[in-house]
Amino acid sequence: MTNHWIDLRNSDVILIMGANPAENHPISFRWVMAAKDRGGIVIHVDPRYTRTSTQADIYASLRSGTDIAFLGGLIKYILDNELYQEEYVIDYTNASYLVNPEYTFEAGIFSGFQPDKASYDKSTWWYQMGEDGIQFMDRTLQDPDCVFQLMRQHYARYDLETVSNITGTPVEDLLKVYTAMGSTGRPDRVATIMYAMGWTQHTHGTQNIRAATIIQSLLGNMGMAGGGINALRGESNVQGSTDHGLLFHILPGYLAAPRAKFQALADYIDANTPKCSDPLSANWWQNFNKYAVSLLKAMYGDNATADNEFGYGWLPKLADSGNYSWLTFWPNIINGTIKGLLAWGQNPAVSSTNANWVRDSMDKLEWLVTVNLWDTESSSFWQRPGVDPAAIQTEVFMLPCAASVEKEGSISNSGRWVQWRYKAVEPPGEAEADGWIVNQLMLRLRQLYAADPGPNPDPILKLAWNYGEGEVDPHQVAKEINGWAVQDVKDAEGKVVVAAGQQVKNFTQLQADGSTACACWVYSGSYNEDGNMMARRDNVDTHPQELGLFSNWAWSWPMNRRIIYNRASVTMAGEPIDPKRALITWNAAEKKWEGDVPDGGWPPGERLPFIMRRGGRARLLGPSMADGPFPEHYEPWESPVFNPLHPQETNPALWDLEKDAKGATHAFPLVGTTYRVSEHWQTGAMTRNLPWLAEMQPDMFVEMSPQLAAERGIANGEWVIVESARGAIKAVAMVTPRFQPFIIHGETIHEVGLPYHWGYIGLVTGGSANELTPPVGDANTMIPETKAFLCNVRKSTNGTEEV
Amino acid sequence: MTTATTVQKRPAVARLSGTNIILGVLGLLTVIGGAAAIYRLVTGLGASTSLTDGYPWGIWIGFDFALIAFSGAAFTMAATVYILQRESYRPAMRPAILFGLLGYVAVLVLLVLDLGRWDRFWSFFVNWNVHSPLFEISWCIVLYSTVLVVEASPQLFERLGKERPVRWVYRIVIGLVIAAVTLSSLHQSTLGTLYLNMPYRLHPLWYSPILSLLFFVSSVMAGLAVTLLIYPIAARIVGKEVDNGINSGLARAIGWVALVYTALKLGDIAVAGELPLLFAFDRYSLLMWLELGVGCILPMIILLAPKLRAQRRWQVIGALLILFGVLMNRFNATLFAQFAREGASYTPNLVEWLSTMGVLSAAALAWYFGIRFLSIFDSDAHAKFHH
Amino acid sequence: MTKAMLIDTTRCIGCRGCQAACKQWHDLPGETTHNTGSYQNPPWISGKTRTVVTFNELEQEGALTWTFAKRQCMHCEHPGCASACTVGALRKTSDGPVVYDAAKCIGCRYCQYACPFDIPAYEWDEVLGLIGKCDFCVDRQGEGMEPACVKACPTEAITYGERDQLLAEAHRRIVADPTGYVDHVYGEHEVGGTSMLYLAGVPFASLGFPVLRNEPVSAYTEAVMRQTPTIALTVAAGASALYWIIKRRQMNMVLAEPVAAAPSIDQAAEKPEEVES
Repeated sequence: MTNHWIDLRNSDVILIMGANPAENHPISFRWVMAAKDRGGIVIHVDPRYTRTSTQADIYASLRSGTDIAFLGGLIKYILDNELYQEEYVIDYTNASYLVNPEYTFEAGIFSGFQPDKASYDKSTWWYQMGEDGIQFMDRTLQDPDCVFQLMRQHYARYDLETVSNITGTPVEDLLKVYTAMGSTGRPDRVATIMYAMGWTQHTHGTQNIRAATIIQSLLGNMGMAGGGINALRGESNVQGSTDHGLLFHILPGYLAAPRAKFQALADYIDANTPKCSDPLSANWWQNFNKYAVSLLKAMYGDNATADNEFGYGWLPKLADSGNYSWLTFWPNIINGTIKGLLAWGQNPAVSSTNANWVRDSMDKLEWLVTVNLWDTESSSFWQRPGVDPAAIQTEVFMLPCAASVEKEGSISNSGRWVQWRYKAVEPPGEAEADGWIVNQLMLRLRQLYAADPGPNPDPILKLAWNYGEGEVDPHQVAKEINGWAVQDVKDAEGKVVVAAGQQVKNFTQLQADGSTACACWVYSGSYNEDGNMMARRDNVDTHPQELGLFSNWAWSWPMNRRIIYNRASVTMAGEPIDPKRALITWNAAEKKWEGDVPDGGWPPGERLPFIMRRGGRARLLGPSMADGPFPEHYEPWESPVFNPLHPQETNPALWDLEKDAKGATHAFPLVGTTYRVSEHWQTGAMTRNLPWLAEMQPDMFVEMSPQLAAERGIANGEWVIVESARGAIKAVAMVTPRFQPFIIHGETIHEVGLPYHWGYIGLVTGGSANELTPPVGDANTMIPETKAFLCNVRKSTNGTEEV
Repeated sequence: MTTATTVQKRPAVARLSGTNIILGVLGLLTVIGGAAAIYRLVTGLGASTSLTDGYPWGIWIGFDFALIAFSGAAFTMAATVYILQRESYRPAMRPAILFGLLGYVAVLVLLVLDLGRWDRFWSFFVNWNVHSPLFEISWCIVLYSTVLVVEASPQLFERLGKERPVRWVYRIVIGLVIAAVTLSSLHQSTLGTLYLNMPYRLHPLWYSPILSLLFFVSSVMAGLAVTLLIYPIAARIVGKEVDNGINSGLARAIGWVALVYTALKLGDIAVAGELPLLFAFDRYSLLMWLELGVGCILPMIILLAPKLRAQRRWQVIGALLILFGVLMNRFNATLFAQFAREGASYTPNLVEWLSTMGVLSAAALAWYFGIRFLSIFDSDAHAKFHH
Repeated sequence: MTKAMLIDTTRCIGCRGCQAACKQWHDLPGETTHNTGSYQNPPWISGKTRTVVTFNELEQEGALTWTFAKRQCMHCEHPGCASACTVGALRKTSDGPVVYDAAKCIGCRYCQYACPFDIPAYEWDEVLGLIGKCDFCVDRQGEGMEPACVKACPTEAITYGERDQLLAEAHRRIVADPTGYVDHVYGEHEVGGTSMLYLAGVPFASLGFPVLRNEPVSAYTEAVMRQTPTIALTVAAGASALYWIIKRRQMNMVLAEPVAAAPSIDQAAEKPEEVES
């Protein structure tokens, strides 16, 4: 989230799209209720009327996979009706930038497309640069090459009729939503957007979020209290996991993982340090070197010196165009490249798209380690229905691990709040905390490498591994994450700012010369000499207007800043855009900001607010996206209808692995989507083993409209078969008016929905929705498109048919 | 010292194989029912019955409530003989009292089967709730059963030739009968009061402010009808001649009580404005036509017609129809005319049927052997001990 | 003053934290259930499930609504179950909860019939089963804590406090948002008033709430039962009177019979019993 949970109550309008927070974040939903209590308007856009919709003032349905059409219509509405906040747009976005005149968009393809690589050469999307290295701008927004005009032209096609024909949303509902959102372009009104997997799990998922960015930037809602774009994370600590680099392409703190072509540290740093000549731009990533070197120092300790590039050579490198994302595991297991798998706190046999393919791949593993609280479909993949265990050679290790209340440490929520948690009970039996398990694994690996070094032992042996022999002390790790001075850090006058051995105050004290170590720069400041900031529990609302900051409760990254980009809440002159929401105010006498931690302490007007962007401004045109600088409506990979906008049906740069697993419309005429229910969580490994939850939602089900049920002769509550090109499962039919058919270009299109929580292990079992979902992913993130695919539903023969 | 009364000669009729077949079947049902009852006690209500929260009471309670009404034979005949002092009815009294006693024993057994915590059936002795109809009914039944035991004891003691206990009973017999009538009036009527706690569950054709009165009157009706049926059977069992005057007298009495009941019931329906419900010809009105029409008005007409009620055949038909009507009334109020929750249904299962049949069979067997071997019609013995 | 709960169904998101919290606090097992075409499970209150959230898809002025209603014992001011209970195991306390003393219960299940809300449920699968129903977390209240369901609710759909204050709040909400609420606080007057009060945006009957009059369920029954001593005395006195009257008349009739040719002294002595018949 750019903002945070409690901040939702400050919103005049909340757009919930691609999310179902009453369902899946019921506790946090209280802040949406608080907004309503204060007169806020809640909009819910969803293919299905859900528990969230019951609290919405405006509900609009849309066909899964058509969010960009919907949002593009909103962009056009804002532009046509001049609802954008003009000063904000000119000052804080790249609307005025002039773009390379060779930029084009024709027949659904942007300029620079390379069909053989299914990717873009993005050079024509870049700005026209002056010799001073600063982009050309037209602050009147009239130049036909300026971003603003290109955007207007791009979304001119998204008129109400066109949008309604694509999404299936009635025009009057579109207008209700657009009017409400459009009303927040005024300085004294603010909207926020809440989204989740309903937006991300598409082949154009990232562009969904880009569309939201454009809208919020046009309306002047970024950086405002009650504004922003709020991603609702799906696990209690997944925010923490991405912060600490658990994705293949990043190191902790969102530093890019090094590619093989950067054999020298200097090259790696140079390639990842944005250059910007504009004195107004903070271009905060220019500090990349400090964070990268401090990370290396933390990893390799005393072994990392200036002479050996701080151990950079020991860091594994990714192949230059290597993609190691989720979908690539399985073919590599089948072809033997990957011999073993650690499924750590995850259950790929149920959670992965195209689950049958995943399960079949796992048969080829030499070994599998599952670390979990329970036996899951993954740890028991070898005895799943329909296979002969004797034919599977995988050696499976099940390591029982401690639950979150059985260990101490921090959890980072969607709002970037890092809250320290304590151990309430001992883990049962032989279960151990993950830290202990990792430590034991590493200690043994180091012993093995020490005994038999092989060709490349240094990456293992040169690590500074000092966590003891038993329980890992989370405080020690937290301090390492915060960062400390390895040697005295001195300022320009030679005065010692941080003494050797002391924790750094925050990342502004990190150095590129190896004098500091820090395991995750964005968390720097969380455990410094003032103590464990994450453990603070002062529940006083510190802001004078009671904006719900609670700045002394726990610690948020970065720098305990609660709302990021908050310099956009004041004008370049330093005046709050909305005096009622004076998030930060400049105290001219004391020459400092008050309120939230400012996104950079420079006086008003000295820096632009979007400090993590090279140019300092929010991007309406996004020149670095893999699939285009402007979000464009493409149909999902499996779609029942043609794209009316252009012959390019689907995202030309989408991530497509198994081209022959696509289903044809005549066999699978229904749009299928997946989602969650309050009662179950993720793959159901936990919740389907708890009797109080299992009794609430015992069976796998599929929700469908009464019209579809009538067509197929399906009665509410009867078992049906749901099938796609990739598999078939049994489900109880839940016939409900909460699903209504869509009229798409005059054709009736039905959509059905499947919760994805079920599998063959647990107190209650059932078919896994992911047995049906497709093996394609987003062009930028490779996240699988589990939210829109093709399927079919039919009555089960005698109600007892097995699949 | 007198010897035991001379044993009556068994006329040939008692050795008919038909009787033995009936006794054999009853005995078999008793044994099977006993097994079913034990199964029920050992496994719990859910495992052994079809009862659910939608239908918490079933045929045990239905037959219990009907049997209590039927056992009104005892207090009605005792009142007839001792309060109204109609001596001519005395021969019919002892079979009725024995029936009543065994009826209440059967009621208690069926009740134990029905109680979820039968191990705590004594709880109402120490835990009182004077607002509760069931509390009052429980106490009255216990007290009344005690009275019945004392009232019936001469049947045993006379057979055993014990003069003192018999005299002692006869010394207090009026008091006993007054107690019997009082206790019976209370619990027979309170069985109706019980349904007053169900204003939203019971169909308006049955729910009425005069439920208590209706249940009491119907217990009189049922008691007399039972007597009309069993007196001749008892006489046949011991080979005694039947006094047809008793039969036609009982029949006429039943007819008049049925008239009173019908008037009360129809009047109540009319006053409550529920006549349209009676003629709705939905399931409920049809049940009421069955209960009131076939089970009360029809036998009333038969039994009030002098020529018909003089004939044994019509007496039997009339009495059976009355009993059918009272049985229907108890089952309607408890089961068929209840607005159970949506989707609920109840079909008694084998355990429920077998245990019920077993208890009733055991009671019937006991009554048969009681009639045969106790002092029922022995006027010599009676004359001897009664002063 | 009596405690109560206000359940505002317009604020309920159907998360069922309350359902789970109740099970957890009372250590109740989960039941074996099946999806019969609804999220609602278990289907209703049972011996092992003391509260259930009902899921109601309804059309309201042409628009679809989905209303969630938490149902449990209503803790009536004048509970029919307490009046009917054979052994007085159910009892309304002055603090509000209708409590159940399992030690007294004989499992007769009459309470199930006396409840107009269909709440007391029997533990059918126990060999020696008892009744189960919401106890308003009387143990928690005794320690100054709110009931488990109240604590679990994330949206304050359930609030807890003094009955008169909650009633005032309920009416305040209706006045503040007349189109959002049906103008009725369910439980304010039904069957003499209940401790569980409800607000809704759709008609209560469409949510499965029974339509009830204001008089307590057992009002008439208790009036009749109060006559028990009177009836007993009346019947006993009447029967006794009847006996004496008839006896005297029969004696008078015997005495009034003409004495046919007076028997000889010897004859009279031979038949003493005839005089007595």
